[in-house]
Amino acid sequence: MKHLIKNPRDFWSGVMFLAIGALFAGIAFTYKLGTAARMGPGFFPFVLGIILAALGVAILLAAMRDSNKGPGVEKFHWMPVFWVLMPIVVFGFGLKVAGMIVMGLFVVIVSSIGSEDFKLKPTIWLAIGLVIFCSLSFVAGLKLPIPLCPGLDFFEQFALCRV
Amino acid sequence: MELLANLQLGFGVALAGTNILYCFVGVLLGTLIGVLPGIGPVATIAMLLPATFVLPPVSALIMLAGIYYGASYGGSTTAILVNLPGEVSSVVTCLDGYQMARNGHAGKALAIAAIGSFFAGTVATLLVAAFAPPLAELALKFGPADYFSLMVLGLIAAVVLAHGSLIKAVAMIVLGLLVGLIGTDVNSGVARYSFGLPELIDGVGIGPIAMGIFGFGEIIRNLEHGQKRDVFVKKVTGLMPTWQDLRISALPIVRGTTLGSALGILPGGGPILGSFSAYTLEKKLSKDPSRFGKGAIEGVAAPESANNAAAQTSFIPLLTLGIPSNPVMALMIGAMIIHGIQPGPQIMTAKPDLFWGMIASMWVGNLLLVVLNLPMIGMWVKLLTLEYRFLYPAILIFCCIGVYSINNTWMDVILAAGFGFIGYLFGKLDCEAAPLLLGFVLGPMMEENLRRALLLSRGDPAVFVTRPISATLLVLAVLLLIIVAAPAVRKKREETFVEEE
Amino acid sequence: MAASMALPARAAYPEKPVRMIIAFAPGGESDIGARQQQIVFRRLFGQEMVIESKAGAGGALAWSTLNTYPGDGYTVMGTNLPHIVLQPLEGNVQYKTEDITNVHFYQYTPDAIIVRAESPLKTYADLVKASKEGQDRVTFAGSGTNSANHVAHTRLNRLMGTKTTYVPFKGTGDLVSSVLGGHVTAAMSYNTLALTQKGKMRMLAVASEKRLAAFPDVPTFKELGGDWVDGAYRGVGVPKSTPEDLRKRISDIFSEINRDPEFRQKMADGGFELIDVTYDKMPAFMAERTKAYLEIARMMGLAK
Repeated sequence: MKHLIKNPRDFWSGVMFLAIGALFAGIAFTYKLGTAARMGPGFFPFVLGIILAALGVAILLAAMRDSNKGPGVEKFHWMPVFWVLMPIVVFGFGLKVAGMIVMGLFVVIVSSIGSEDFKLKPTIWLAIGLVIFCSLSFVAGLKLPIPLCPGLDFFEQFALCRV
Repeated sequence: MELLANLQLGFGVALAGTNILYCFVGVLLGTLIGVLPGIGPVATIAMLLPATFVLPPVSALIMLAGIYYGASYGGSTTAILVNLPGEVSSVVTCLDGYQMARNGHAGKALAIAAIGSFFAGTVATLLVAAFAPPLAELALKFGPADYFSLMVLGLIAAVVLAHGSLIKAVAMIVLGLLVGLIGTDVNSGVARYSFGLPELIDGVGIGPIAMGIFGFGEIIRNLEHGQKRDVFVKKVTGLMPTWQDLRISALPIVRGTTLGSALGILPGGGPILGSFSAYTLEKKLSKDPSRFGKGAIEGVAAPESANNAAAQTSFIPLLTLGIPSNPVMALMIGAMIIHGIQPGPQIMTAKPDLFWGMIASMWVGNLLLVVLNLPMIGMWVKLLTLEYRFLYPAILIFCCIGVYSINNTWMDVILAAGFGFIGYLFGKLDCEAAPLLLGFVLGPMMEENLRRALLLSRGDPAVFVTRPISATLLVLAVLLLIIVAAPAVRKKREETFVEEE
Repeated sequence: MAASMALPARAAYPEKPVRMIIAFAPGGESDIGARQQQIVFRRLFGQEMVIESKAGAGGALAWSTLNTYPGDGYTVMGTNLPHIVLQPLEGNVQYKTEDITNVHFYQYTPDAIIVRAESPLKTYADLVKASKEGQDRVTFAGSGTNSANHVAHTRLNRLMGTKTTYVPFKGTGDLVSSVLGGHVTAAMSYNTLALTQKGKMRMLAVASEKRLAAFPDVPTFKELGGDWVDGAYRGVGVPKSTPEDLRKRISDIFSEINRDPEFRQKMADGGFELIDVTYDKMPAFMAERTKAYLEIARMMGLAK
């Protein structure tokens, strides 16, 4: 198998497009397809899903041709993926419960760990500075409806009152 | 000369002491907020609307308009500096603007964006003043079938955006179209691909996608490659463009302005189509297309001009027909009603001071933008010399808050994280994201107009070739397809591609 | 949660800013109406009314969260008819009509048939004649599927005895250019559209009780022989846990805003017809509306 794939980046893109196209087309089948005059909700996604799957197959096949040699897929670095995306996900789920102050500190400090020259002390100062800046500009200044610190009425008042 | 008299009236209103102040405040606020990722003009205007209640109507609308183009301009700044498109129309600016910044030319990129925008703003303002009513009438001639054909043309043009494999670019567009279909189908009310989640009933927003794929994906890439790099950009050369740069950019700015002005008049997607097609055109006309995507100054000048021109001309349907061509214009209508002004075709005759005052203030606002932003370039560029380990956590927290605040929902934040991973994956597989975004934006409009056209023609597909506008656009699309896909051209493309490697 | 303890309603209500959640995007009619109320609210009651937009799923996103807010009177939500009756019938949403505690309905915009100024159709009779001859070639643009406009179109077809085609658009702003460009025969919309497009569009008939002050020449459907008084109603709802006296107080507050002369003038200019369905009249009003919508929904094949 391995020696058949001449262009791994294209090959795996082809696989990805094929899979996604098939998935979309498959689900579209559960919606009404309809007729040309009165297309159902499934018509357009079904056609597009098939087209995407077909393109995927074409890319995949082309990647097995000799004339199309290409470099291998670069190594996946899971650590930066984890340190960047995990705090975002936690922020998303935790904002309503824990508020922006706690979540903001969390995002800045935890995501900083992803950098190789991480030092705790300057990071904490950065986090505090950024949270203060965000609270003042977004919540106090722009009145975005973002909970600062649920449970502490002092902050909630601050968020609601208008100048 | 009626036009001159009208402009005189307009400038009289716009330059009146308090109005020019409000214009300045609007432009300043817009720029500052637009620079923050995720918080685009719609959110900004919605937030600042109550603050304008106390102002006289003309001042309020002048200020709101100032926020609008200030915010779009600020959005381009973030696109150039940190590869974060605040809105769709600055996606294209990311392609070459960000590369320029990485090469140490951030100052030039920002300056050329400002200069291009100002030129475009000036021309577009004149267009609005001189031809608003007839242009609006022309836009009305576009029926659903014509829109569909326009979208087809736009999508085919998008293929040129990619600088890698042609077929992968097409696949990315189709993928974008599919992602765009998530959410409630306008015609049947069925929620598609929403998996029972109420947050997905309205589909996926452009904010989470753009910020995820471009912003988060880029941060992950930087961390894996440049972990040793302390400073993001080591050398910063030349804040201001040279004569050579200006000479190269002059024609792209003119062409971008023309395209942007024309497409901005059409309701729906004007600035987006404008900036995408301006970029496409420059890449096609360039002697060396391989420079695009690697920091070509034309790749910033043309789409930025088009973007700004379209932003101005999108006021035409609003001011002459009362049609909001985008969410910002819908908010402007709301603002007018709150201030007791009935928007619509009668506004020009019933409130000439308001109509012409707003038009004149557009030009004043654009001038203020340049005056305001040129000195700020030095400050923005300094930002890039910050150590990256301090810069990226700041970008992350701004993005989180920005994405959340678009709809006040946690789902968008999670989606953005998901698209961040997808963006990283795309990078590994050499799949370019810009065509996906265009597909995403145009997909729903394309389906809507296709189905509407067929509903109106009672299922007869001939409508796409019997309507003259639609037929012309389709012929153009086919011609473009032939040019793009012709074997000879394709071979040449592949050659340049191989040379780049 | 400490905040969820219902406070006894004092005459002093409101003592702090009241949050009004609007289920539609800023700039829409619900938002505009609320922003006008905001100004009067501050003037009459000395407190802020903070408008928070939580748009999505045609309003369903906000309405399905209504009962998760504390019932202390400081979080209220804009509600819309027929949306809150029709959406649960359709099934895709996560709330039931009964979950929404409406305390007051304050405005409505009546259904109206509107054509462009160049249209050969001068009167409702012309439209009926054209519809009978053209049938599905006659097209009506409207906002949304299974929406107020869609309901109105179904009703119009029944009234005229025709099978004209309904063409859904994303919103009223979207359909304007199709009507002005003559791509559809007419719009099934509200009186507000005719007002904003005065001179470019013509209203043929309106579903109000009496002729509208701004359009003295346009007949109502009642005059034309139809039993049709309907449109989009806007009101305010509270979380279920809100005590009775507080519900009444909020209802009174919105009645008082409705009586403000300056507010009345502004709303009339915007084409909003003011009504005053107070909390005590609510059960009867909802029962009557629900019955009417159910009947139409059955015709549309929405309800069993």
